[in-house]
Amino acid sequence: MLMDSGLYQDLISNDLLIPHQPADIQPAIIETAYLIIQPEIIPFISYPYEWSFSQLKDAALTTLAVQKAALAKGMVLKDASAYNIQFHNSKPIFIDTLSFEAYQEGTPWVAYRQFCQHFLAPLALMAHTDERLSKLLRVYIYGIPLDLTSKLLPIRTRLSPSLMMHIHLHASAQKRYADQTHKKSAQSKKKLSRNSFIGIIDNLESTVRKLKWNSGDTEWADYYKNTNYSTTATSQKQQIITAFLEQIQPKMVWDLGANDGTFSRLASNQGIFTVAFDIDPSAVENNYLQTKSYSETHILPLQMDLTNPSPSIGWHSQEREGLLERGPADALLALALIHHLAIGNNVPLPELAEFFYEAGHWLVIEFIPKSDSQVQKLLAGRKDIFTDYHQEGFESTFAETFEIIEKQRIPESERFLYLMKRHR
Amino acid sequence: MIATITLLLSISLSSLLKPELYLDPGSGSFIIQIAIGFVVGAIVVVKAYWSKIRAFIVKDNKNHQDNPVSEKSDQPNE
Repeated sequence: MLMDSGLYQDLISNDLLIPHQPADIQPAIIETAYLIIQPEIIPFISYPYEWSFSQLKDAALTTLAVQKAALAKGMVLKDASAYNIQFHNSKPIFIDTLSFEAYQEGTPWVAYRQFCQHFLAPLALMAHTDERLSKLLRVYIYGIPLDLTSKLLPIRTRLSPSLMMHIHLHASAQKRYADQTHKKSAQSKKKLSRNSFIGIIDNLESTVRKLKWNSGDTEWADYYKNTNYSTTATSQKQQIITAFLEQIQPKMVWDLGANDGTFSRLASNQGIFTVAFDIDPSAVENNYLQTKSYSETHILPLQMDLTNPSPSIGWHSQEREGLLERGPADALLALALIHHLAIGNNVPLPELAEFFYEAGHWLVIEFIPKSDSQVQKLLAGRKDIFTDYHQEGFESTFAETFEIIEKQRIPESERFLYLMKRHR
Repeated sequence: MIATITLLLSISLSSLLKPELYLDPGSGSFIIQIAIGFVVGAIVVVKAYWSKIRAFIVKDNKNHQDNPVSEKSDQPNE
């Protein structure tokens, strides 16, 4: 029905659904198999707790757009899970081709609660309480419980009719009817008309659109205005990295500590798929908004705390993969990063080398000595216990797991860039 | 607006939510959806009729006036 109704073509032409081909594979159980399909490959799977506010918002709007297109062709989405959205060519796209079923007039939207828990609750919490609450999605894999959302949202959100209905009253109704057992037949008598169905989707859409988050005031938002690089040093640094990338010829790069993606674009602008990780939500948000405004297709900004990266979660710890399970990348960029991890977070250098070894085949890494003003800032007000943190110590530690292919000093600075390849 | 919606919801909830249902964990979501559907469904109907009425008025005005009538979107949320 997805194909016959024309819905598939509609969704594909609007970049809303992942394209697929029939696969030339014999099904294991022929009697029950209809077709085996091969969807287009998404180079890197990401999860809602790694997305910035606008990424989650766009994912929500994509889900509703898919639902609207489906209804126009007499179908509905039976799932509205945020995990059914992936970023493909930097745009959110629906990936669960098997989530469609025929719409029957009178039935409510079966995925309504899931939409509220996966999208509306985290977005409302980020917009009205605190952006960091999106991390609750990592704890609650089936979406943030609405009673918890209702508790955490400020009272003023009860004055918003939409949030009052979809979150607060919804949570109350769940609680009120959770413990009662009654006749099932009565439930089927309650109908939701087609107009009501459309009304709910429209209302969810306008509610999501109205939610806003100002990304202006986090620690790293103005990072590049506060660096100690001269213009020459920055441009030389870019030239060295570009030359290293030409040597490596990677298909996929992970830029660790990418901030707003300035250096990630040295790779992505050459058509190399680049995941730009950063711990700071504002940096990731700004990076994503930039990918949107320039219609960039090879860069994926994601939030990631490298001292506590996304773990494997869900049933059997296998539903959602941890960061390292999604690697290794062909090449890693670790620019102006390791002093934060080694000094700011007390990670020993051998541990750092081990992490990079697991994460990528090639490593472009910047070493910043203690004498650098940025490192001095990290050391200010604390005892310098980092006796191994010097260039010789760094080189000898990393030489145990990597072959140092090339080393270049960044002009007008005390910093060095290394190109390394991991030992087999 | 807020008062109207809250009132409508209260009426919908009291008439719809008679506790005579078989309830699984999604029952509350089902019930609230029917209730919200009453309110927002009514808005969809009003909007649909309103655009027809407006089209009629605009057409009528065009027949009687030489100046074109300026159009405004009826999608304030976008």
